[in-house]
Amino acid sequence: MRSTACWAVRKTAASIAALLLLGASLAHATAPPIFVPADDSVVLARVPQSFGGWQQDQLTSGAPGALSAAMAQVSRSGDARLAGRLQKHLDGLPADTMDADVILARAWLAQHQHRFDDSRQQLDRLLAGQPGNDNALAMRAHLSLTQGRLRDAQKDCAALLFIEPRQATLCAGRLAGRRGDWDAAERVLSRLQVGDDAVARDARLLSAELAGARGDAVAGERFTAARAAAPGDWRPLLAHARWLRRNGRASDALAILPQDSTHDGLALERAMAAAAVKAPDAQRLLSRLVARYAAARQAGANPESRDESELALLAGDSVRALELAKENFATQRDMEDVELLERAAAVAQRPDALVMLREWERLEGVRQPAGG
Amino acid sequence: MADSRFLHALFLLLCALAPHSAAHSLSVAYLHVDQASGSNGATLTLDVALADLELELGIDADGNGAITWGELRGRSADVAEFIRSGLKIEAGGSPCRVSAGALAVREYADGMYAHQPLIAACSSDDVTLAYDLLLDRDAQHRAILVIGRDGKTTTSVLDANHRTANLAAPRGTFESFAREGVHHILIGYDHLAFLASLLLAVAFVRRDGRWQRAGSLWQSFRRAAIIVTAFTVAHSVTLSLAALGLVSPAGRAVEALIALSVVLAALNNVFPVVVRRLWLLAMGFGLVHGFGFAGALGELGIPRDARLTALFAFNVGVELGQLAVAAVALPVIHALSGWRHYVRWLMIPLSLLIALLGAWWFFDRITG
Repeated sequence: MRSTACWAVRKTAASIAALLLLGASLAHATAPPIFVPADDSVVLARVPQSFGGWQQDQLTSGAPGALSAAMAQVSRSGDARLAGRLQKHLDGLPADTMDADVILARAWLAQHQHRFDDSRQQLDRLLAGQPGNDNALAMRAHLSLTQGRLRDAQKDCAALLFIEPRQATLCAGRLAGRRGDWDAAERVLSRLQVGDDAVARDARLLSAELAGARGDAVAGERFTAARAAAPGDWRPLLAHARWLRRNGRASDALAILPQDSTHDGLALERAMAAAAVKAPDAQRLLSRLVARYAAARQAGANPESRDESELALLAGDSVRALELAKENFATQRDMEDVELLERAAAVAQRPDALVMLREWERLEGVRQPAGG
Repeated sequence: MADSRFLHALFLLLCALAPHSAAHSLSVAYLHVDQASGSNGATLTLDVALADLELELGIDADGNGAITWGELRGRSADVAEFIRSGLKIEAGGSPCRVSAGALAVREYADGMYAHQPLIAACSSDDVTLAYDLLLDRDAQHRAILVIGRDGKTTTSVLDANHRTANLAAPRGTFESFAREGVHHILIGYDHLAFLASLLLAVAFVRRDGRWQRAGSLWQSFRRAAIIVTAFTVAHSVTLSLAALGLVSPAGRAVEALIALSVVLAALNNVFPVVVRRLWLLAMGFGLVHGFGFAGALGELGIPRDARLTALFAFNVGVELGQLAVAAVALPVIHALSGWRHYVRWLMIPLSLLIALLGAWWFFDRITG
């Protein structure tokens, strides 16, 4: 029985590894077949939900409210096409503008697109002229947390305290969570989960993630509440699905994930959940994902190394997975980035790969969480 | 900004609701071009994501969230026009006549694409393509361009910074690298200054401590050809060693040494040290210049399958370029050398000027 299971795992890993190799080498050599559908009723594609209400012309013409609406839509959907269109609009505005809204929009989009240096540059410029700009402080604190610059984040959180107390509290909760002080993080976040504003919604999601990380039974309930509070938002959905899969409930994860997503993270999560339950379409989903990454590379864009590392782990390529996890850790150090690096190093039996992680933890005052 | 208050609230929301950053699939189009060598025009196909067409043209006519073949087919004229407006195909500066074929579909890894065949009829085979589709709408949009010609394919990426592609048949390796060799010597001011220093004295020989006119133009040309060829032989050696990766001299040191060679060659006309066999001087310093040429060749990129051809052709190009310079300069130098004050009022002042320039380049390169 045990040997049969091992054989099945090896077979799946071998298939994925073969797909990865094929994807890398045959990205464009195997152009898909051309066809003419048999009749007019054949459905070719579903319009991504994220497109609903997108007002490109209004954005281009600078109509009132169009920029904020576009940003909210990009944030909620994570759709790269919409982000590219928003970027085009922002690129067309004067580069040296001191309009705080434009600078913040640029900084936010740069962060969204992983152009962290660009984002910080914009925020530094704005804060040099307006040291008390609460949005810029909150955004830079978040950027510093993402990059693992916890001491920098702490300074911006502290500066927010007298300007925007709820943001400052959320910032402090997130910082405590990142430092491994989960009890303190829980206490802080619990104070924010009143009402239905953005801070309360985010506090609920963070609280669910912390509960998930420490193996608390209330995590599922909290994730469900976080999703219900932000319908259509990819973040609570992805976090919930990931937690379900990691807790042996991959079929439940499949049930909440969309069939086809324009979001790479959701597509990867679906493929991983499908592989975990050996769903009939698991191979198809994985091969599509491999082809997507190969196509992105061919187009000169790098897929997210965190996602690629996960895929390599699934394929049993621990060396590649660790390499990608380290590459990812060099740019972003959220909780899942750290967890991925630890997992990849363990699979590759390379404890030495964690030296830089431990050094960073020491420098930034991160401790191993109690109960984690 | 009119929506400033709303934006203020939104930024707070985004700060709060952005616990994870995201990188996602981009908008990509696939442009395939087939062109037979010598033919006027090209056969193209452009695959555009239905998602992009939906955003641009609103294909989902009934708004039910599903794009059917009937809806896409019903907009085929608009799709063809949209694609044609984003592609400019020209030959020799004149637009080609582009006709659209029947629309079909193709499923890529990230979803379904409309497949639009196009035929471009042009006035010559010097076809260029300018791609503007979606680049002014989506900052992240890219097109993967696959050019097929005579059974071989090349792939490149078009984006907002690289919108054009030359579809003309590429020149052979030998021709293109020989051209680059000629081009490099003609724009290489330091190599030319070195050459000029040697040519200024080519009409003379040093006898009894004085410069004396050597003889006929033919004799001057023969001496110049020997000097130029010695220079080429020497730089061919070091260029080949560096280009094949057998030696890797520091680029900055090489550039400084080249400048120093200019100073020494020019000063040799003023304070003669090497008075016979100037070709030895050319050969010695040619070794240094060869490393400099290797830098230029490295920037071009040597094709792996034709390394020796490329190297040989580049050297031939440099030699031809030098001979061309000599062919133009020598008759002038020879004519002027008949003037009895040539050495005092032309050769020495010009040599000093070149030496000064060389000294300036030297200091600039070691301190820059």
